Amino acid sequence: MSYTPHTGTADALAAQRRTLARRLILPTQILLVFIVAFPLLMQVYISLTWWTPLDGTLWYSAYESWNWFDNFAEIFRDPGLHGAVWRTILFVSIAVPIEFGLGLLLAALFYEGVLARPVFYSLILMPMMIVPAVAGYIFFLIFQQTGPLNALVGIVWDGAYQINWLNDVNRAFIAVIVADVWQWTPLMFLILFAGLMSVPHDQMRAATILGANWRQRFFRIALPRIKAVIFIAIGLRVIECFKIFDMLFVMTSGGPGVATESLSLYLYKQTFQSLEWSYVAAIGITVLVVLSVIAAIILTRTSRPSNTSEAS
Amino acid sequence: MTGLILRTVVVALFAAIALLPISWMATMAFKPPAEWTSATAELTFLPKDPTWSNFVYVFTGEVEGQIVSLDRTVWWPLFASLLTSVIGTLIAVVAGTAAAYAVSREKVGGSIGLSLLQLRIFPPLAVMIPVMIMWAFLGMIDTWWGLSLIYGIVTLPFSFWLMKSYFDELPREIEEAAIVEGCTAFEAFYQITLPIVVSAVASTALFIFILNWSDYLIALLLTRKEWTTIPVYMNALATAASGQLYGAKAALGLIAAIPPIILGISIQRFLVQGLTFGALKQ
Amino acid sequence: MRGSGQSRRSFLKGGAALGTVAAIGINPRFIRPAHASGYAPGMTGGPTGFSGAERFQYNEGMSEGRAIEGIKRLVADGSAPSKLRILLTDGAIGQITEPFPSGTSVKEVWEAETGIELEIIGAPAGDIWARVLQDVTTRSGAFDIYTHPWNSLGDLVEAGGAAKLNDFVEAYQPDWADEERGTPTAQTAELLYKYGGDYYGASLDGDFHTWVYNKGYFEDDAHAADFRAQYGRDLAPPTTWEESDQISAFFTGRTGLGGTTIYGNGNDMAPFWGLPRFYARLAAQAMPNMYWFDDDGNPNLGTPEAVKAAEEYVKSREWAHPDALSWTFAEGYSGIGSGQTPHVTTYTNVAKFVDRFNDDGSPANPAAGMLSAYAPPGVQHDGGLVRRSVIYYNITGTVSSQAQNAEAAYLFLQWLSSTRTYSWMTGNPAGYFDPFQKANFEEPLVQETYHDYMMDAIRETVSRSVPTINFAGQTALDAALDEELQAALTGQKTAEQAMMDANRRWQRIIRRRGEDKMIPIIQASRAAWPTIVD
Repeated sequence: MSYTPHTGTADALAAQRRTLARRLILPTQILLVFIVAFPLLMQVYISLTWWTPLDGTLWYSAYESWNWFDNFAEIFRDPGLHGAVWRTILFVSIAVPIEFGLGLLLAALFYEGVLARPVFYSLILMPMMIVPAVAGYIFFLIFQQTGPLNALVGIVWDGAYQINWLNDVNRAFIAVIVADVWQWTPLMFLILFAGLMSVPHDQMRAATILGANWRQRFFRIALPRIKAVIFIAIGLRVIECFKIFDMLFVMTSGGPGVATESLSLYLYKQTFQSLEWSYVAAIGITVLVVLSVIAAIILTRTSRPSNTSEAS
Repeated sequence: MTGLILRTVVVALFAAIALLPISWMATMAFKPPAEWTSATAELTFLPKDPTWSNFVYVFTGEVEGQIVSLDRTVWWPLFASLLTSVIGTLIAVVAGTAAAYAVSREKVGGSIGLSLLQLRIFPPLAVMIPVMIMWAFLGMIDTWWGLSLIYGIVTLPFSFWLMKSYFDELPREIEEAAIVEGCTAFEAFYQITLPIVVSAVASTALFIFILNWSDYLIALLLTRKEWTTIPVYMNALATAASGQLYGAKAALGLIAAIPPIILGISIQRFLVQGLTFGALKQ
Repeated sequence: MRGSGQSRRSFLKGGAALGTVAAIGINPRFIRPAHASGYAPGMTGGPTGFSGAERFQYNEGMSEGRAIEGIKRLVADGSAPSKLRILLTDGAIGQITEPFPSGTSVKEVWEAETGIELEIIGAPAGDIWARVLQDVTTRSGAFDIYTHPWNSLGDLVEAGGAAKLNDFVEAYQPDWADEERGTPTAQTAELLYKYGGDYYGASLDGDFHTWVYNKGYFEDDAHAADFRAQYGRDLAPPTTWEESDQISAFFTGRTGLGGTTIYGNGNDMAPFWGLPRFYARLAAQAMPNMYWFDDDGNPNLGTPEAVKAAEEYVKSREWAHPDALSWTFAEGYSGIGSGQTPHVTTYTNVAKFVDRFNDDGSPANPAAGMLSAYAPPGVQHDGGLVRRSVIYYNITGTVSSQAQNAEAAYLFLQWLSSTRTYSWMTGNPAGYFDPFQKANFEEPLVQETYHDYMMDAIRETVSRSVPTINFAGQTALDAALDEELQAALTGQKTAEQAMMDANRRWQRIIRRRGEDKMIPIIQASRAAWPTIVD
């Protein structure tokens, strides 16, 4: 505390701040190196072999079955993997937009005002609080042919009792999307509503006075101002949805056949059923490279426009 | 006025949809085994013969009518889940907030943001085997610190990115003024900036806690018996006699929802401000 | 109501222990006053304190006694561990820890006689393989004994996780294959305890899929008369799958107990759980067996016989409950228990879990008291009737290759799986270790728990059971076939297409694993196939 900034130069101040920043970032850097270094090296190493635990040797002896890039070549030949990746992409690109749309609708309704807002706010957030594996069990039971959903629909339409959800390829896919939308629309709503709340009220009021109707106010003024929030909300869901596992594992285990098998479920089966650990390593490295490129592109693209939008 | 009522009706409809599956779980938790699936009886929404036995079973391990007594009750897994989720959340929030501030203010750390993003996007299943081998080598399998540490690491990217977006929005001038007033750089961060972002920290913590609390896969691979968490414990609620104990699972599902809800309620006043992630200035 | 010789336990566990007995719902006839403590003349060990305990007692001349003597030698020379750590499936723990029929438990007898503590680490059946893999691949050495499905034996051995038991078996002579008391046939012993010609496992289960039916329905006059009118023969246990399918078709839509609508086919068909029924159908398609692989080690899934079995199997879904494709064995149990279905092929403990009465004498399930069982259906060939079932899942104990003391771990397994201890344990309704040894079927306590009708049926089934796959790569092979069958069941593919695809996937798995390594093992596994033709 002997240091007195009053007498310090701007340089000294800057140096002090940089030192602090380096210290603050240190724990994260250590954790990152800790978790990345060994697993990455091991994955790269065994991905170049055919090693599986069935060889009866430990992983560091994997060189005995050295096979260069054979596992990576297999990635291009493996229809099971292609199917799983395709279904995962399809799943993300259907579920996330629906979650976004419903979340935005709810946020808009709340923003315009509803009765008993705190109560509804809490109720709508409830699905988020349910452990996904539990949600999987709930929806597994709900979507049984003799389950509560068909019974509920059956009140108005007799044919409902004939709908078999989880044993039909397309309907099972719909069912898992419904479950995901149910669980994660609340998060979308939470983020988007918080974003809307931060739109300055005086601007909205001014627009009202100028005769803008609800739709104009919402789409012309509010939405453009929460672009960054929308980006975060969608980004968050795309990332998590891409990895979906727990709920699917409980609800369908990827079935019927492989109709709802996501990339994570495919990796699970390769890991624990086929025990193809070197192949899983190769898939992991490939996924890492592809995602890194995508993430880097998105990050560089988005850091620029968001800077300009802040100027207003 | 009609608009208000119309909106309320629509929102109420959404709330009903949100609650229906949960209420199905809630009523299931009070049903005796014969009412769990359609293999034994026609299903009804409300239990025909309501019972506390599912709760008694998970809390005491034994109940009338269930042939096999539970090897473990829910108490210890509940404690294990709470402890590891809380510590994991603390690690993520503390390290992530500090790093976010550093990167936001001084652009140190190179591409650490991208690295953290990759860490989060990466499917854990593609890397869990090496992590398991590493954890075993370090003697961290089936320990509370081992599980807490991995939870802290896998959720670190969230706290970093969420907090960074918030710090980015906060004008530096406040801190600079404080330093001119005689604060050290650390005091400016700790005493001036942090209190401003406390709501963001709280909502970030809630989100990370929910992620840790829900984890099934990591706990499955990195525990053995002592520190299995609630989602892993749930798999034990199945017997040869009755298969999946849906009633007990539903009871456990209700119990498992309580901690996030309590946490959610206690920081609710922060939620609306916090989860904008600071992406906007007032 | 409890025996007097167990005051320590009830003192320790107090009310909770009493509550357990009530919860287990042991038939009151089991609970008899203990007549005397101490061993029967000539016996040196085993449970005491309940009537009939002498049947489970042993001396040094018997398998259990040899194991105990062996342990005592280890203790004497100081090499015995203070405790044994066992990874055990949750659903089976009760049979080791719960006193039965009164007085003392398996665990207590072991600990009292050897002084070696048993530490049981439970894991759900679905997670246990992940736990075993964790321990094996990280060389953690956290367990001395693993229990796991018999099907995983090959994977475990190839991964270097299981200790070879040949020397111990040689030294201590377990009575596993004893002609009087052991497995029903020599092949069964081959199939259960050995892998690739060496001893590795000790069977703790009898998962031979058994045909169980609702005798009340079959003997009901209205059903019987209608059936005779329709098919021109009596409504009786089927000898062939064709007859079995007729029975399924006949009962579907009829009205059963309590007005419930009957689904003729009670088999659960979920992934993993439904698979053994397909294997059983397939195995009977040729004389004496339709093997999974031909003489050269090529998969037989693409053969016309396999396609026929698949088509029949897919068709049987018509007569099953609409949700049967997401049902596991447990819903199968519920279905036969509630009277929703007239017959099911499943695990034998369906009899002890479903067909029982509560303490107050009321039936635990609507169909309690109406069930019976029979030998498995088959296929009629020119040379005779081939009835086949399968062994599938079947909890098996292995000694971990990292066990602190492999000999001590083995001796416990021998003691537990020998015919006296095992008969005692399998009679206990608190878990799912099922009877499969000759001595088990003769044991009154087992007969009481599993009912008389199961005894012959199990014996007949065991001697006609073929092994499902248990060599390295098993999970991959089963999963591939399972996925294709599910695709056929849900109409994504024709049965033929599914079998062709499954055949291709099996070929690829075998190739990847190394044909030179796999084919000898595949050929060796034929030694365990039965050749009985009726």
